[in-house]
Amino acid sequence: MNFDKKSLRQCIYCHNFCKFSCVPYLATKNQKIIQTQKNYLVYLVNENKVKPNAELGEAVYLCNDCRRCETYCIFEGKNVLPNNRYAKNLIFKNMLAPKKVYDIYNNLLNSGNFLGRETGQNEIRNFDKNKKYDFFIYPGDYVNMLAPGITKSFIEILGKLNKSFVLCDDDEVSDGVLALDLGMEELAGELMEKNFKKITQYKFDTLVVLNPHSYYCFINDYEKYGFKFNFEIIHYIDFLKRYIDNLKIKKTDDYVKYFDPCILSRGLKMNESPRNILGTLCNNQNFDLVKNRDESECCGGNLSLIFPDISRTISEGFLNELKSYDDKTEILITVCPLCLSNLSKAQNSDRFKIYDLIEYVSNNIV
Amino acid sequence: MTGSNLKIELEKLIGKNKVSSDIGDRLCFSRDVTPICYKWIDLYKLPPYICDVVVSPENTEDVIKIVQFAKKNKIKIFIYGGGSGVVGGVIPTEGGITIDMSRMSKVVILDEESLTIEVESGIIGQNLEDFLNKKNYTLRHFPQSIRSASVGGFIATKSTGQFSTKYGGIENYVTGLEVVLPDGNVLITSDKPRSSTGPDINNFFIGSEGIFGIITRAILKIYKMPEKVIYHCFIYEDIFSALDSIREIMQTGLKPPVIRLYNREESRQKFAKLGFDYDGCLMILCFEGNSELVDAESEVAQKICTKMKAKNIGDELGKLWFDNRFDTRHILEKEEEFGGVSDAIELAASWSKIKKLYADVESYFRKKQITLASHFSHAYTTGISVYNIFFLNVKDEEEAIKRFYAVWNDVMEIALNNDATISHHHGIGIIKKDKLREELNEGINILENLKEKLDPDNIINPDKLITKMI
Ligand SMILES: Cc1cc2nc3c(=O)[nH]c(=O)nc-3n(C[C@H](O)[C@H](O)[C@H](O)COP(=O)(O)OP(=O)(O)OC[C@H]3O[C@@H](n4cnc5c(N)ncnc54)[C@H](O)[C@@H]3O)c2cc1C
Ligand code: SF4
Ligand code: SF4
Repeated sequence: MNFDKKSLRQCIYCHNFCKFSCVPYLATKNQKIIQTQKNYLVYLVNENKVKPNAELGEAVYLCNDCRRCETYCIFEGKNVLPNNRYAKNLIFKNMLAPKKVYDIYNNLLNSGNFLGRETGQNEIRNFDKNKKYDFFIYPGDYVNMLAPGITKSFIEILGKLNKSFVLCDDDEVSDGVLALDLGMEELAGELMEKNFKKITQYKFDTLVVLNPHSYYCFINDYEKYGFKFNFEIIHYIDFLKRYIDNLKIKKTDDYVKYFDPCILSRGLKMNESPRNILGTLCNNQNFDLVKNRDESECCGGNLSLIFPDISRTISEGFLNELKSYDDKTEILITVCPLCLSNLSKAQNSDRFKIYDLIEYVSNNIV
Repeated sequence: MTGSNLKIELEKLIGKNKVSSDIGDRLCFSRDVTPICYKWIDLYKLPPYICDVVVSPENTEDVIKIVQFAKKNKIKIFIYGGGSGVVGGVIPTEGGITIDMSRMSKVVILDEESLTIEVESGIIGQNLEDFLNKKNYTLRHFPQSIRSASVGGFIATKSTGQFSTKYGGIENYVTGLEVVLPDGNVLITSDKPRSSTGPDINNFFIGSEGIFGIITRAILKIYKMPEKVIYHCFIYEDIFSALDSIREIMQTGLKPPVIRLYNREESRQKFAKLGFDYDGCLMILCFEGNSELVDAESEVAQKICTKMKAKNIGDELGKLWFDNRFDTRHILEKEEEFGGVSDAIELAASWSKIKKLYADVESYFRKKQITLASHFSHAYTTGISVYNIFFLNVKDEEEAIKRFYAVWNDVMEIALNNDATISHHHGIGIIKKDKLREELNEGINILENLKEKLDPDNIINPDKLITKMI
């Protein structure tokens, strides 16, 4: 990761108007998380004016790359992701990250997934390398580890549509996005290579990615690391857009709100398609939470893997606040396994039912 | 007491996770967005003033304990709200303890019947506004820094917002306060619509810049969401006839929340990228509230403006101004340059004096060949504020700081000669202190006597507003 002095200085010489939007900051009040202060300290480290320490390390990893600050950034937010990655890389290399980060590193390195779960039980060998399939399903390790129901629902839908597929789930190697987000650049490259080799063994028309974080990584990072795919890559939202009219849906009267996942709204700018799909399912058509699209709130994101208590404070805070001003909503829909897992764990009553959109679609097929 | 002893003692008092002597925390809480803080980054290895320890109280009891401890041990206390101040108010000029107010950010009571809200003072303005919006209310105190400044900071600096012409400055919002005084006692003023029980005690603290105590809670007025909001934009041939229109609008009794007037250069510079293509001075006017009242006020205002030969150009630029109101890139890009500095000098004068003040300031910057962008905003029946942003470029950071102070001193001199105020809303901090005596006359003695009575050891926020120059 290169040191981009200009990009760091932009955040340091700043009026800091993104501060109010940083949910991990609001949950912890750790001033070193917010962009202007974090980058100030990182800059001083680079200029050899202060030594990096574990306190800075903790703050750097308390940023979950939700990119909410991008929305309110005075400079259009272009520096947020590069600065975040630079800071994490710096801290990681200096062995100053929280211990859980190094546990995740070892798990990714040794087992190919962040939990260190033993894999290889349902080998890809179940699928025929010589046969041409319609789809290669890539759930992504957040789906595999945290929300396998998403894969189940997607397969059910494929069944209804009579589509053939190769499934890469239990033996899947992490796509690399978590490694990248956590500043493990080299490991990310290695994981990408493994994935590339694994996926390209099969013949299929389209790769459907279920985890939007993985999808982001496939379309934005793989090529930068020298891995160019010569088949179509889509997220399941694009798949639903194509096929929703071929499914027999029963319309519901549920009061549904859509929780825009950060990676969809701010990363991929996919805001309307999930709403349009919900529109085909629901009679009540207002899906917007007060803070929606690129202003959407935070579920805790990948903090649940490193700082589970703080992540829980964030997701509980969101649900409790929603309860305090919204007495109508029954169902919260999201399009991300992390959001689904974090929000579901934070439920302390049965006030809301929380689903991933693919589960909700699958539940409403007749 | 050394930094590590201080930490240990404070931890014993209020708990471990509320005290930090980490160099990162100390550096973060020792700077705000005053241009000199930016210039120090490249000028020195580390900034010249760094606090010894940062404490983050979680409730008023913690604040009391910190203040009592500091008083007993004669250690200075500095108060950090949101750190968005532009006059160096948070700079720990004598080391010591910096109190980070951010953990005291709870909403205490929303009184929907009286339309007030009680909050802890560390809450960021925009977080409060978001909380209210979710319940269909609004504060309508919208300083441009609302996304980073705290309620405590608003009150301590006597801030005003971009919608102030209708709703007033923060002084028009505060109906009650809780303040930890420098002796550790707590003052609570309860919210009454008005009272004739001596001078309003709240006003001793509004604009006090923390020197009389630490504001821990505030009760503020709130509003229902406006039913209708409309913008009008006008082009004027000359700035003075536009000023006359504003005066008439105000003195007729209309209450536009926003009334902004840009001089010819600023209209072109600021709005060209938003589609402004006129040769003239742009005035933006907004009305909001009850739909029928808004329509009636709009009609009267439009008549006043067209009578002064203004050209009505519709509402588009007004809406664009609103959407782009947080864009301060032009200032920041200058701050980041080596030897560059930019700042806003916010003056105000009565209607009978404002035109000469404006002319004198403009001529000063022209003679010095310093780029200036000016606009008028925050109008009253008796006068208006003028906001002058200057952009300097010199050989290095040291020279930039010198020139920065020189410009400030010269312009404050011009203000005083015109019977204008040297600060309409940013406060005094460490930047404008030496001219305050000239503006306040005998008043400064009252403030100094009060400080001596309340804080004889000069513990809380020393060197700010009235005390010795750094
Ligand atoms: C780009 C930009 C735009 C701005 N726009 C406006 C504007 O439109 N209107 C306006 O009025 N100002 C504006 N400001 C100035 C600044 O934001 C205000 O002065 C604001 O009120 C400061 O609040 P803060 O919480 O950031 O205070 P800080 O910067 O943290 O502190 C300011 C002063 O208040 C004291 N203080 C803070 N909290 C407390 C407390 N709880 N008790 C006692 N003392 C306390 C501090 O010690 C310090 O002396 C702007 C600043 C910037 C950078
Ligand atoms: S992300 Fe944008 S607004 Fe936030 S500190 Fe950096 S440049 Fe400023
Ligand atoms: S990316 Fe998210 S967590 Fe990180 S600093 Fe920005 S708002 Fe905070």
